[in-house]
Amino acid sequence: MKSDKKILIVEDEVQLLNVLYDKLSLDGYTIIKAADGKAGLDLALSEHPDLILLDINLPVMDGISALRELRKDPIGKTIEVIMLTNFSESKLLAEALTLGAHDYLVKSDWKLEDVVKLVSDKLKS
Amino acid sequence: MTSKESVVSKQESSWSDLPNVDYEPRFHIKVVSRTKISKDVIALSLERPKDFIFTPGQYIWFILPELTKYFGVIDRKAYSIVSSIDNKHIDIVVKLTNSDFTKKMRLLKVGDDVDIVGPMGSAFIVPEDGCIMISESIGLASFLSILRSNTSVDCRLFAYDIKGGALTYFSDEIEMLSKKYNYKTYLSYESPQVSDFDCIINKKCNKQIYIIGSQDFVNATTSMLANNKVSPSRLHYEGIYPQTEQGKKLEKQFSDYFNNKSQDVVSNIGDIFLQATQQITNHIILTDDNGRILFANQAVTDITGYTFNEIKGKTPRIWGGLSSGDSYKSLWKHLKSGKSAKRVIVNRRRDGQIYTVVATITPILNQGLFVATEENISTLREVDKAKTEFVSIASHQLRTPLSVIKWYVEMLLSGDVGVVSEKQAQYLHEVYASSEHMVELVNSLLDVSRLELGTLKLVRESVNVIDIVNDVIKEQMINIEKKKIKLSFNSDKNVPALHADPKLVRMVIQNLLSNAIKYTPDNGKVHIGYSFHGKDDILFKISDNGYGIPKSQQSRIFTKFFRADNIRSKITEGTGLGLYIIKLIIDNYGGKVWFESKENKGTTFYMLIPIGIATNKEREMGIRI
Repeated sequence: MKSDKKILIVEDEVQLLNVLYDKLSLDGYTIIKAADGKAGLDLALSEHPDLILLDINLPVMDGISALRELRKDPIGKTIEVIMLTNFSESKLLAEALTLGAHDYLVKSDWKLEDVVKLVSDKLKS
Repeated sequence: MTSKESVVSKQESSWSDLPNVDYEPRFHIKVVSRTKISKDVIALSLERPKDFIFTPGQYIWFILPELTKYFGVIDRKAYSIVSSIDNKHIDIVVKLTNSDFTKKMRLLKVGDDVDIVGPMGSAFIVPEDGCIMISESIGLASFLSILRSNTSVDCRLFAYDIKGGALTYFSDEIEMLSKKYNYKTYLSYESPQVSDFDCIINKKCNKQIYIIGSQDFVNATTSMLANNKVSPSRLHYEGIYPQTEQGKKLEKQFSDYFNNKSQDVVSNIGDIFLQATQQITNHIILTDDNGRILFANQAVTDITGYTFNEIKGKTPRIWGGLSSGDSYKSLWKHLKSGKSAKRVIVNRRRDGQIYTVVATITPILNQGLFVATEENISTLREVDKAKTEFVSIASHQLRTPLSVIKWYVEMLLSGDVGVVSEKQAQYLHEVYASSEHMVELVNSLLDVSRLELGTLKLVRESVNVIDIVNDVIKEQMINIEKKKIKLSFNSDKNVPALHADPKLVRMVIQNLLSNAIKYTPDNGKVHIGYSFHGKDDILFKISDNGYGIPKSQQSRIFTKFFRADNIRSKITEGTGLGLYIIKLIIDNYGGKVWFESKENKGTTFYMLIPIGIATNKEREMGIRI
């Protein structure tokens, strides 16, 4: 059941966060959200979502550091993570992938339906 | 103490303590008579200097004790108007105000000696078909003398006597003369008003306009007219400046020099130009034919930090040795063949600071001399860099809102939040398409700014161009099929891989192919060719039989944001940045990009790229423009 699946979106740009929230909730997922890296990490550790959409550029704690901390946790180690990027941070992206991010999506280049497809694919595996 | 009281000078001085002003001609003459014309106007009769010609309407200056400061500026308080002349006397008119000058003038008695400088007249020559004169009172006498002597000239006078001057004295005569000869005059004791110039603004009076007066008057009148759309080419300004004897001599000298009439003035002129050279802010040096410095102006020291003594006899390599030895060799070769050269070079000041200049070097024929000037463009470069960084930041910021727009439109179109009518869907598609255009533009701007700033991390690998071409074709397949374009791709066997950054090669090929497809109508043909060109280069060719580029616009094709007129209306997508980016990249690789095109017949783009460019260390560091 889709509604069983919990997705955490960590994104500091409010409108972007909202559109992803709107689309994915409409699709039937349960969504929790955070607007900075620290809040995102705390939510991830307390709520254990099935998938995290994690922006790289975040205030308080950036996405890479949050991911690094997350991977230290026994449950956090295995949560599916998709990095959100605008493709100017290719070096950081590479680092994220070595830290165990499972994939990434380029916000400005992707269609929303492709985002949704990626999310559903990752949740199936 | 009020300002009126302070007029009386603190020190006693006499007419003999006169300032040493070198205006000429200067006369020492006597006051012969003094008459009161009206409450505020006096007429003085002065001895006429022998053998000197004065004309009514001219001005003379009184040189008075403690009024020296007025000679830095033409101050109306220190002049007087010659109103009439006979064989023995000059009559002048002075309007008495509370000015320092007139206070002095009040003290003059018959028999006093005075020093005057004069005569001065404006260089004002009335055009044959007449003119409009807008004059503050100091110009009146001039005009009056014109009226008296040019009775057939069609003129119109606007005379303003704002702070007290000659109008009082002359107004009667002006009225009389203008009635007699049918001139139109307008006399006012107030500042000029726009309504005064009604006929000029409404184009009924269309003659040339001469404005005479103090700086404030000239400024105000000019603004008034310009703001009411009177063409600046109609406005002329007549100043009243004394010309000294020395000044006349110099004028002739310069004129002779430039007309090659006299060689013996050259050394004098040389001193003058030397002085001028020392003052300018561009660095100038003279060198012998081996580049040894013979002369350097002050700016050289200011800019390079080296004094002339430190660089005398040495070459400019002291501050300019940063470029490669090869580039200097080629520069000298060029110069020795007698040609002038202009280069952008990077220099180093004595204190180590780096700066960029445009250097221009010219051989002085047959003299074994070079003149070299350098203009500092470091600030220009910094400004350009700041601008590019701004573009980069701005473009970055635009990406998120664009994604948000696109995604919400997608949600609307997919019916996520309600059924959408056909018309609504159509409009939403327009919104979506426009946002995609914006995304494309933002991406291109970011590419351009990264290329210009050199912030793209470039690598040098073995790039298989054929693979990239096939990849790009696959990407474009939707468009190719939609437009039913016949695409062909030929490549020479065994063409080696390029040593370059795959991102950049892809950018170039992608841009060229998408252009070819975009600017070719349905059922058109596009051909890609990839072959050897001699031993060292590779030629990449892409041709289409599409809209082509009009000949008149071909020279601008590689400039930023330029899109040719013939496709602008047909095809709205297109940022005008693609070819600019390609040229940046190919130029940096030491290659060449060019095209052949005929409107409505098609276009072929060529790129020549050297195969092995890995040896140049500078190029490894990324693109620097």
